[in-house]
Amino acid sequence: MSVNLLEKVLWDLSVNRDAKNRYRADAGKFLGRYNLDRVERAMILEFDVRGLADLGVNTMLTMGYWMQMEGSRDMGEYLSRMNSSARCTADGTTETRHG
Amino acid sequence: MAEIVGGFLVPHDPLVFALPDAAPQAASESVHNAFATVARRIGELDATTAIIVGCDHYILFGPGCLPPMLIGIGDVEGSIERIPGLHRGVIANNEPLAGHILKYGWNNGVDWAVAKAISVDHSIGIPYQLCVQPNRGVHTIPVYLNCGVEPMISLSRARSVGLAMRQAILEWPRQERVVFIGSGGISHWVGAAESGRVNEAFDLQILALIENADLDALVALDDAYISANGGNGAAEIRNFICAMAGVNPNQGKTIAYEPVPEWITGLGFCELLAA
Repeated sequence: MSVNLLEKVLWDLSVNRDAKNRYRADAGKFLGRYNLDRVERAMILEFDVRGLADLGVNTMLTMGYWMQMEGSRDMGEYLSRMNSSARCTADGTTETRHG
Repeated sequence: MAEIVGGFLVPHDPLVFALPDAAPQAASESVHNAFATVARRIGELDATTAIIVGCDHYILFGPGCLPPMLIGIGDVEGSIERIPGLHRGVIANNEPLAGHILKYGWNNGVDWAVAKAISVDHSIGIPYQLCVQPNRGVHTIPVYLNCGVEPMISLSRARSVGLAMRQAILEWPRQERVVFIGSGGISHWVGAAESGRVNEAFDLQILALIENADLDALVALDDAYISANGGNGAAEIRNFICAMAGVNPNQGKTIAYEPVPEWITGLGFCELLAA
């Protein structure tokens, strides 16, 4: 896991118009340009903002990428996810956090 | 000779613009009246230049380069975000004074990063639009401290930057009347699970220290304490510290304080009364 790299991806998706367009065109191909592992890729693709925050990713970025890239741009849903206990696993499924 | 004639601490909450009707009417009126009071006071002080100390919100500066402190010495425009009612346009800099502050800092231990042309974000754009722009002819020097992204500038370093700007201004041989504006919210959790929480007790603690001009106590605050009690946004206290060091007030006067969960922030307004 690299929090720094995750922040790089989310910053690109928050402020870089070209990055946003390439992600929308083919998210998998776009993320393939970064040295992410499967869990990291899944968290980004699934908008697992809570999981990203738990790793230490800056929450201004989780919010920025949500508002820029998640279709609904619904802050209520964002905060619901931030307060949820589900997270992505390596196979892209979700599981409930404990503790 | 240049003088430092006063200073102000104000919030830069974008929800004041983006969700104007979300807050209770009395709180909204209080906030807008407070911004107007600051604007009026800047006029009464006959200021010619305002130094606005703000912080990036992980928009202007990315993981590839995170300047701990940056000064805009050339062309300035703002605000970069598309927020309803927040205008985008040219902001008149005081380039000679900004360049002097830069060089003074470089010669005295403050290794400024430099913006020759910058589009500022709302942390500078909001105080500019509501406090400075109403006073025709007042120039604006933008200063950014890294308050939002780890590794952040330390509280003590924020004070050092303010002190260096103060000394630079006092050694500036031209006629100038300078005010500092420290831009930041008090308690607020930005993008975090606790977003919407406002900690009035913490906010009032900070305001009391400002009123007492107790810069030592502000600098002595522990970052973990600030984060736990004021949220990630309260790291913007660095901007207050920097502005206070620039003004060297003997007291602060609270203009208004509004805890507004709907705007996710404890919004405090203070005037720094120069010694």
